[in-house]
Amino acid sequence: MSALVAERTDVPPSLARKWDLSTNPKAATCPFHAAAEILDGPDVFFNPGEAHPRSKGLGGNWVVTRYELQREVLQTPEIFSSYLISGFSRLMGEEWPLVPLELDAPDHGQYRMLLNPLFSPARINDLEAGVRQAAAELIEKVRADGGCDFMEAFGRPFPVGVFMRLMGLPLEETALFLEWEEGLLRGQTMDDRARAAFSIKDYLVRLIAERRRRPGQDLVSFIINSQIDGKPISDQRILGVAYLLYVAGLDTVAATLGFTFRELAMRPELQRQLRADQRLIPDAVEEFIRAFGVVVTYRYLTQDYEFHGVKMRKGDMVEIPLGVASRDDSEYADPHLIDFGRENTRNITFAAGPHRCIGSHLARREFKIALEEWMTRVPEFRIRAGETPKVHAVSVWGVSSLPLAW
Amino acid sequence: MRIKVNHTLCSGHARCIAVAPDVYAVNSDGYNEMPETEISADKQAQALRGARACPEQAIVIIDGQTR
Repeated sequence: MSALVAERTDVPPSLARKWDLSTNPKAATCPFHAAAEILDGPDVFFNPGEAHPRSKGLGGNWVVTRYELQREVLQTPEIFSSYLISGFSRLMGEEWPLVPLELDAPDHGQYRMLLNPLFSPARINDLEAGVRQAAAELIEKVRADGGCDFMEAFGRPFPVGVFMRLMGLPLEETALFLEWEEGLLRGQTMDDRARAAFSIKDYLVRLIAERRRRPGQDLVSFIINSQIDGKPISDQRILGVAYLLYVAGLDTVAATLGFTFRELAMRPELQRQLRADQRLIPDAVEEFIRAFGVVVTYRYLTQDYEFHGVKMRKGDMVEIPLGVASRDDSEYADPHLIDFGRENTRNITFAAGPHRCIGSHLARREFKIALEEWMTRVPEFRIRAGETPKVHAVSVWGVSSLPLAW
Repeated sequence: MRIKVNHTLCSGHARCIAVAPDVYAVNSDGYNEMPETEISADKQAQALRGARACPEQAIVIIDGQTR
């Protein structure tokens, strides 16, 4: 047992509950159905176990289950801090924040205001042609084959390609970035993950130095040449931005695409709706986003605080599995049903509050384009006969393999 | 009916304008800076839909029909 686990004698026994999706057999079929089981218990509970890399050695963390309560936590950053919540730099034995994700006010707002224009709805229109080209090229590679593993052919490389174009990186290096992503997020051991983390860091540090020497039209050059409070931005902060952009938009988009296309493959009537009228696609995108909150985010208490009758202590970690909010029956009628005509699709899949995902507009456009290009170029597809998609509920909930046939 | 946007709560999801583009406007970063605004009868259904679409629940409907 890890030395980091400590007894929390102040937690009422009725609120303590061991929760581990990796030991729930239902999670292998659908992590959302499996995770929604915790909605049967207390709205906020304490999950004992290993300490989060950010916490001060306290074993376990609070889990907030309901949509409304998750929203409230995310809208209260002065109590629920984001500093170093992802644990990525800690993985390397270092202590620098992903920017602006792991910053609190006032720094957070300054970096957020600098970066907002790069990801605004208007700016995304400028990126559309490149994103659509990326989608079309990937689809055309497999269309004539009559089938593919969707994650290998499209789900994973599509968002990596978008990231590479945004950062002005050579597309020939896509395979390398995919390999690092796999190692960082799903490495078998901590060593594997740390090694991948360092590979990414080393690459980005070299990239930043290169862009100082020879600025371009890309995102990194823009940040290097920006100022906050009349001062240039430090190398550590630039790395924090670049690293966040790398990790934030890859697995998240890939996972959502995986669940989306698995659903479409299992329910061809949904495909027929979209093929008959592509104007339904934006509503379909929002419903898929609603249903598939793949990210689990964290906050930690800046002070002792009573949250809806639960006494939390300064330094406590709070886990916010957004995929449980996705299936909260207090918020959504028949939450497990994917229904493009659903009235209420408002969601916190991109979180809420000041840390609302800056890439949300880009993500929506990626999903829209993915659906448009697949519905246009590829005939009705199904899960390949005799095969089963593989899902995982580790870090970002995702799909590791999705064999399709058409 | 009037709509009132809590600008502190607005986090730039831009769902209001996505759902009700004839009623709502956002700035170039995608944040809603609209002042308290009167809504004509023909746009009230849209205004309600846009308000309901906000994940921050930042839009309040005043003196309108009950939800």
